[in-house]
Amino acid sequence: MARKMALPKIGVNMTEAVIAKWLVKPGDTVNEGDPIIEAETDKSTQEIYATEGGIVAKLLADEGETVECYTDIMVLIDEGEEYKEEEEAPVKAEEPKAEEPKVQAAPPAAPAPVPAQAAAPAPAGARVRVSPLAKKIARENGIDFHIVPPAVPGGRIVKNDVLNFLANGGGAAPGAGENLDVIPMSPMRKIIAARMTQSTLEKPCVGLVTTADATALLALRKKYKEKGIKVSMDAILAKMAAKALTIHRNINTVLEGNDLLVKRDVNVGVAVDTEKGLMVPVVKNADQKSLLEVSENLSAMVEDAQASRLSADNMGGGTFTITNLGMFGVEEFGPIINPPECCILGVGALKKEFVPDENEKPKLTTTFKMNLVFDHRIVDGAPAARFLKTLKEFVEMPELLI
Amino acid sequence: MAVITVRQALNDAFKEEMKIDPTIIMMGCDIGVRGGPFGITLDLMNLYGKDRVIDTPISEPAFVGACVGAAATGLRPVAEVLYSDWITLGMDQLVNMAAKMRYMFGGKVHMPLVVRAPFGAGGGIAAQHSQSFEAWFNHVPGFKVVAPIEPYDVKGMMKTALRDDNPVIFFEHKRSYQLKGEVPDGEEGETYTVPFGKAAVRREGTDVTIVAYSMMAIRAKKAAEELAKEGISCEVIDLISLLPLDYDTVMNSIGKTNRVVVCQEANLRGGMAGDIVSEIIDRGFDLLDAPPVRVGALNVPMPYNKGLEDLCIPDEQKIKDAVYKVLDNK
Repeated sequence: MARKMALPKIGVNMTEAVIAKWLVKPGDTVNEGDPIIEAETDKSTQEIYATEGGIVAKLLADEGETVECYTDIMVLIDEGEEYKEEEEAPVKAEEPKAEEPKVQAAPPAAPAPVPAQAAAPAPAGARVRVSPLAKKIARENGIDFHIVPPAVPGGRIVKNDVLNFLANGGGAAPGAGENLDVIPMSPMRKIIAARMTQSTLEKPCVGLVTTADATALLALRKKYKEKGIKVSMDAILAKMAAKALTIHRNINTVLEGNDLLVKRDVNVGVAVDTEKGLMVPVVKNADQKSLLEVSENLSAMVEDAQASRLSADNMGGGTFTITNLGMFGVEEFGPIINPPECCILGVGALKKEFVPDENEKPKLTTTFKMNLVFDHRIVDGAPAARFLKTLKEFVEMPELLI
Repeated sequence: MAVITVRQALNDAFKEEMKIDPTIIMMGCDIGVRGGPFGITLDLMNLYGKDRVIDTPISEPAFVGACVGAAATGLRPVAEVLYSDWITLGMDQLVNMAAKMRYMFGGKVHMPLVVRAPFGAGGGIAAQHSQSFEAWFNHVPGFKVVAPIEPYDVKGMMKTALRDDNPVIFFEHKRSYQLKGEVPDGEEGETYTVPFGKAAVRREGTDVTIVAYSMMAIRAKKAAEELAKEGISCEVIDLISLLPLDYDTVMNSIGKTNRVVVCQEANLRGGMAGDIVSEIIDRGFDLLDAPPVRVGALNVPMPYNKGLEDLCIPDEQKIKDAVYKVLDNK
């Protein structure tokens, strides 16, 4: 019996997903739990698994399409069964009322090609059919062929389509004809752009910079290393920040309307550079975890992020973020706060420096700069500076963590 | 200019070449006294004698083999296999001997052999008399493979073949012998030749390039004339020579039209059209605005029944359908 499978909700905060790539095609056999879609959810790219088994008869959503949770995405049939289009009909007929309100929210399940819709340019990232010649002309003119509408609805983009597109000028991408490539934003890029813009527009920010002596911190890492345990600088700072946040709870705060929501959970996010863009895995309740637990938790999530399989739940709920550009030799920078959090800590490169010791004699030490950017709506300069001072004390004397 | 048939063009080519080159000889069934089953060799035995125009028993391996030997030892033999279907019987002599000998003897042996292979379907002559094997010979290094159709090309190309020192498989379309066309007369008629590896643009156009040869070039031209009335402008290329093949002309045309249909009369699988399309993609993928379309016969033994035969062989309508397909962007 033909049956439809809906897009499951796999993260607490997931409401919809962009189908980045179908991993199955009609005719494939799937078992419950098999990956069927590579999807871009609110924060990450992740695989979505079949909630039941069968043979794929039809895909109801295109790549690049945004689909709400619980919307039908494919039709499954049993072995030996032949799929006929009409078989879907009774299901619809039985619940016409239930179907109606959904229409405006979700794209129609069966994509009957509406000319106006089909003749529009393909959604970014979707597979479009384009002739080699049209592709070449588009490339030479600095336009992305994805934005060229084919003359035949749903048809192949050909030379004339690109030439008409160029002739009509209206569609000319910025810099068309110049020596550059135009790349449409990925869903992830769009999310980053929206969030950074929101943060910049909403938050009156102030940055506080301090220099910390890294000698003790490096000695600590060395001791772990001698024991064969790899603990990253980010993991240590995450643990220290978590501890400092339990002391300065006003920093672990979110502004909502006219209320300051002081969070009891201390969840520290660490910015990770991945092929697809910036991701922020979050160490939940970092204050209650040991340093080694934080370290293991974080490195597992970083690995997932690099492989684009970090789940949405591991990216949400952060209350504080650390971002480290030290490995690129950046000494100091003012990052943008990850909304709705109150602060972000920018960590700079380790640097050897002569500093005066107690006897005012030059002493060689390793230092780095910490730049705490805070939302002045939530806290003032002094409490933020107190938090930074505590953090600096932990860095310079890790024993305080115990 | 004189208007003559393909039959006359071939007969003239032999008469003129045998006159100036006494080493040209011929072997085949009924080519002497009878003048050939298709009348191509009429009068040649009277003009040049039984030693040069030899009627053989029905044994293709024997007379094809004898021709290979004669070519290796200084003569310029022409073997006529009557129907190209029976070239299979001389296949070892041709593929393993004729095509290899010049190479394996370091160029010391010449192989000035011409095999006349009347091919093509039509007329209800069934599965063993209708085949087109040009792709087999195209596959074997060492041959030259030609399939001219217009009287001018047939005559000029046969002269080139007779003067060449390599084995040439000369495909004549058996339904073309009555086909008429202009051929120079007088001194020019006796001296002109048509080179290997040069295609002819039979009709200029801007929308689709139709690549064809032999009878399909004739049909492609007719199809193009009909399509012109519908506002579709086709450029028709008659390849004339299949090996070597004039890809410069083909690619120039595709550079203009960006769409190509390749036609062969042989059944489609493993044929010239597939090979030509592959080469087109290698040379000019970026010139293409649509996937190339091939036209060929169905992959079945040719039926004797006329109605079924017509279904199998590509006609003007099938070429037109291919043009519609290559223009359809869906």
